[in-house]
Amino acid sequence: MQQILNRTGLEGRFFISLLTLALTIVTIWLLANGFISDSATERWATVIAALGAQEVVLENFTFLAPHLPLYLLVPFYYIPGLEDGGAPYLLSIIAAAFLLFLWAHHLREVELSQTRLAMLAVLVVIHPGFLWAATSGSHIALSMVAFYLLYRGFQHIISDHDIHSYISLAVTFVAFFFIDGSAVFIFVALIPLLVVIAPLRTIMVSPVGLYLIVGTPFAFAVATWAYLNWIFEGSFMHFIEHADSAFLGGMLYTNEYPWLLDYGGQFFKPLLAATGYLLIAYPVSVYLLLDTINNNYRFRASFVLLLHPLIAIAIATSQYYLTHPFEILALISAGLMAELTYVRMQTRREFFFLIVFMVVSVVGGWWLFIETANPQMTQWVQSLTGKHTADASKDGDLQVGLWLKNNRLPTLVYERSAFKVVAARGDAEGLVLSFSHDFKSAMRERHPNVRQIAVPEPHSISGRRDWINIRYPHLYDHGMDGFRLVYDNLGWRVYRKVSG
Amino acid sequence: MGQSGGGAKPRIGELLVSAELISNDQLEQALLHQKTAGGRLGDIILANRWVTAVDFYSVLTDQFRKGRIGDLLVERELISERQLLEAIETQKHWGTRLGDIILARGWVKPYLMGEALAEHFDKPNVDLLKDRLDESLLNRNDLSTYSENLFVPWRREGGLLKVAVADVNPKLLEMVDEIVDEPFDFVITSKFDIIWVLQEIGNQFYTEKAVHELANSKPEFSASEVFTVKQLIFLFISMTLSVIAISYWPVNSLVIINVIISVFLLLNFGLRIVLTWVGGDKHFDNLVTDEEVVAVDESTLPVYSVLLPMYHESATLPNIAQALRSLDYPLSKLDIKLILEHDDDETIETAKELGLEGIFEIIRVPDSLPKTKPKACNYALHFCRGELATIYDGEDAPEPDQLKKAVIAFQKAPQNTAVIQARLNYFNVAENWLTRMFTMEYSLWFDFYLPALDALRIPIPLGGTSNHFRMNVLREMEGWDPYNVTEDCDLGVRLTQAGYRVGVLNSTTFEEANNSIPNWIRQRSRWLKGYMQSYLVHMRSPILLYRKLGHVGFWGFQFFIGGTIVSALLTPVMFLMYILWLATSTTAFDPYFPPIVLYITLFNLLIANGFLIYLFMLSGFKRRYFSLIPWALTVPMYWLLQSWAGYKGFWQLIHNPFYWEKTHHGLTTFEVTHDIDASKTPVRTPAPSRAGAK
Repeated sequence: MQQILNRTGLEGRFFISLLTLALTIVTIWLLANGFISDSATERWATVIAALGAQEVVLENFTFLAPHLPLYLLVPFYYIPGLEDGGAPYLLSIIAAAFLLFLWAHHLREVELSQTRLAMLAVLVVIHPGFLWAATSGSHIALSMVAFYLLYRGFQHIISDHDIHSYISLAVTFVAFFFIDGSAVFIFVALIPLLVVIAPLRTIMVSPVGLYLIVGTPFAFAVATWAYLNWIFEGSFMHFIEHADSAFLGGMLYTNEYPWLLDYGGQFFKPLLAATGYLLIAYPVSVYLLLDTINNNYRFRASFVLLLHPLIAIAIATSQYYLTHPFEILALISAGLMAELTYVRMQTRREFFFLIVFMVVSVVGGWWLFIETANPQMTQWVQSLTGKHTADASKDGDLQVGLWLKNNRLPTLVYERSAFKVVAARGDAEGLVLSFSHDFKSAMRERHPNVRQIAVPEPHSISGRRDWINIRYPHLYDHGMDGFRLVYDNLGWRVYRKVSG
Repeated sequence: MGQSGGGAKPRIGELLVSAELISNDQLEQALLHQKTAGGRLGDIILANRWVTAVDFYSVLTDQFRKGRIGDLLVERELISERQLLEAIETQKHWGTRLGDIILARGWVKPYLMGEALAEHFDKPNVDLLKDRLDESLLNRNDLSTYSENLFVPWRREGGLLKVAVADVNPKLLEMVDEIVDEPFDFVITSKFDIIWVLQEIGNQFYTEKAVHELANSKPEFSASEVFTVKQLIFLFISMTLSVIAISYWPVNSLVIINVIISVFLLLNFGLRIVLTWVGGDKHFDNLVTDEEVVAVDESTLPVYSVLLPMYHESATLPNIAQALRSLDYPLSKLDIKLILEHDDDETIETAKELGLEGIFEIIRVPDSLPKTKPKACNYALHFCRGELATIYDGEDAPEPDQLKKAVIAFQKAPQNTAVIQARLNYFNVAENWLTRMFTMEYSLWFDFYLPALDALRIPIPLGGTSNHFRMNVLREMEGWDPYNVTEDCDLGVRLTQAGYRVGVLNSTTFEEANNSIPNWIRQRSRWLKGYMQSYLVHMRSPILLYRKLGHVGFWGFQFFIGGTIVSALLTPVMFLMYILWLATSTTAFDPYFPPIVLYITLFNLLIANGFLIYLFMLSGFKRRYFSLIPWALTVPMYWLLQSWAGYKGFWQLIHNPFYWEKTHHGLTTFEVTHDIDASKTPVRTPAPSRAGAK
């Protein structure tokens, strides 16, 4: 190595800080151009609804989505200036920055020069998989951190086979489950691959022992979740039975997702399709596999990196969970980062080929991302290119939310399908939301004892899932005795109790 | 042994004059005295204190020696030429004296060696059992010095004190000179005679020391007083206030109690997770490497005392004797004490029948209360000669290189390291459910927790055996507390408080896991009672303890020692409440579990307990006891057993605090071995006829 090595890490940290700043600017740019992530809004709405309730209890968060991303948003709730919903985006940037710093720290093991670190970091960050995760405000940035640690765990098991590596792997899986519903599929996909990761001798002596060591904490995590569902919601299966559950992915709305329409319920076809996606978006992982063919340890790791997400995608699709392959495919960026911490790019030739394949991956990734984008991804790309993508004045949810912000009477509203309403209102103070006792008792009454009722148009997507509509099917059109219409705009109506 | 040449020897007087130890006038005077009163010239010179015995023999040793000791033994047909050559070859490696090697090999009986030595040094060989010593010559305060160094003032003859010694070397003579503080000469006897006679004469002294030394010199560390007055007052006030609070503010008070319990259990779990992570570092598995063991120069190894307290364990004696013989350590540097109770005729007879080599010495502990293992060890400590010391149990099978590893570990450790704890595990892993649980628990304890405690500088509760001490520190600490039924745990905390470090070692001693639940309950109730005793002793002055241990050490002590007790006592209460709630769906508990308490409790119930089960799995995994891993799922039942034992121990703490609940050993049908493979079908041997108890 003729260049200065990244020994102190100071320069590396400075560069990563610059990248973090760049990610922040990109995010601000996206938001300024009207990009709004439904996932981010939903999480933020859940948090403000839970914390703004009369009694702040765990069940306010509902058990229909993993809780860790919600808990991480809790501190932001108390920071002034973030009430408009910027917190999830900030959290994504923090998670991405944490991942980058962690990666730069681990890269010191391979004695990389500053220039090379900068080149690699830029190529990682500008890949759409990473950039999308880091700036879209979704939970995928957190999933990437988990996947990175998971992959480092694989690497450690292969190279060191010490107890720390198994504990890390098991604990990361637990955390993963509380971050992302797809962790179940990532875990299941690992089961056949464990024979590649773990030492052959251990597998031969006690495969059961090995699987128990890796899988028991994850099984406990799932069981814990089911138990909490039973305690608070009355059913162990609540989180996979409820229509609004994030754990179901796209299962109940297959028709809305082209990927599920094409491949839902199948295994081999999505596997093949995902392989094609991978070859286009991440050819660098194929290069790493071929490059390590003479190194047993590294080859096994590269093999897992190549195959693991593909199997996970196939399984998740077979269960109608995965709405778009990029939800898991993007994690390869994190896996790749972990892989690079083990690659010794000592010669100029090795590094050159790596860079070439990473550049090809970036180009292929962008092409694929744009070609296969779902509406949300399309909106993101458009915002990135400077097109103004959303007009708040035409969004019924946002408008009713803003109206409720100015008309702060206790209002009955079903927030699960109308999370934007709560997010736009900025807080949940005075709202009677679905997890509260007041909401449940209101649902039992012929005429709910609340000051206001907000209800969406019953034939809209959210209107069909709205519990108030289900309980009072004529409310939207005909109103209710004792209530008068005070708001009617863009598919939302608000009825106010006639005083006296 | 040194050698003397043949031919005419110069006269003693001339040699002393030429060495300028005496003057010509003194020589003349001595010769004149010899002419008139008779006697040996050397005795006259020594009696006149013109020269010390040390200087005298440093000049004249070869004058008295007759032939080589090895040749003498061959001449007497006590050993063969081949054995002599082998001993000489061994001497090159071990660096000890030829006689010690021959005795250690068991080729010659000690009393015959005594005879040969006496002839070699041209001194009388006395049988102290027949030729009784003059007890008036003994200084009672020096009894420990006599027994530790194997000499004893015998008689006064011709005005010169005769000291019976088992061996002759300048260091010993210097010691004798210093202690007796008068002119002396020596006679030869066997070490067994010295031990026997000292025990006979000094029983009361040694017993008094063994039982009361700690209580007299450091009463604040003695568990002879279970609760101090201050503790009783504190307890009374706390309980009174609690009752008042519960009477007036029942819900709030119970909520607060609930919070305290939940948070304590949560932190207790957190500590165990940290310990598992820190202790799981593979660095701890290579503290001393095999290469270092191979490279060790045996001639530099110190004398090692091995304490072997046994009670009604005649069945296990042959095994442990063989295990100790198999240690990869110069046998002549082993000082093994079979510590047997006076009334344990059965084991004493077995020891005699076995015809053990000279490195084994039987120490008979006279009957006195409390009848505990620490008291027996304290007693034996007065007879130990090693620079280092360790304890093994009768059913132990230490890895052969353990002592060498301990020596290397001491060399590598900081200077203030007082004791190094080896790992304990079991050889009858797969005997039944209980042994499986016990094995996983021990693996977790010794392979994860203790190394982490060492790394984090939290007081280490020593294990019952295989702790390797620096003898001088052990004596400085007044040995073990005979009133504490987990004296090892207590000693570990005391050492840390005294500024010493307690280290760990990557060598394992395999023991017999309890395979019977009643027996296990007995053992565990004693352990938990001992933990309670230790906790109470060291919490007599909590602020002082905080100052001595620091933040991490103090809180580590609270959660590791205190947490073990509290967990054991609380588990059934929590389980019972949970089962009641589950079975009846009662809402009676709701007021006492406000949301935050409920969440912590749920976390403890689900995540913490889940991970604690997982830790058991990890312990089996690390030890490569893969077959145990699924069994870890049943560990909650083991916790209930632990609670049972906890309550029994608690009851005994109040009603019979010093009672040593006996654990029967020798119940297993598994082979005693240090070569364990839990996945294989165990090799079985016929069950021993009699079970031992400790």
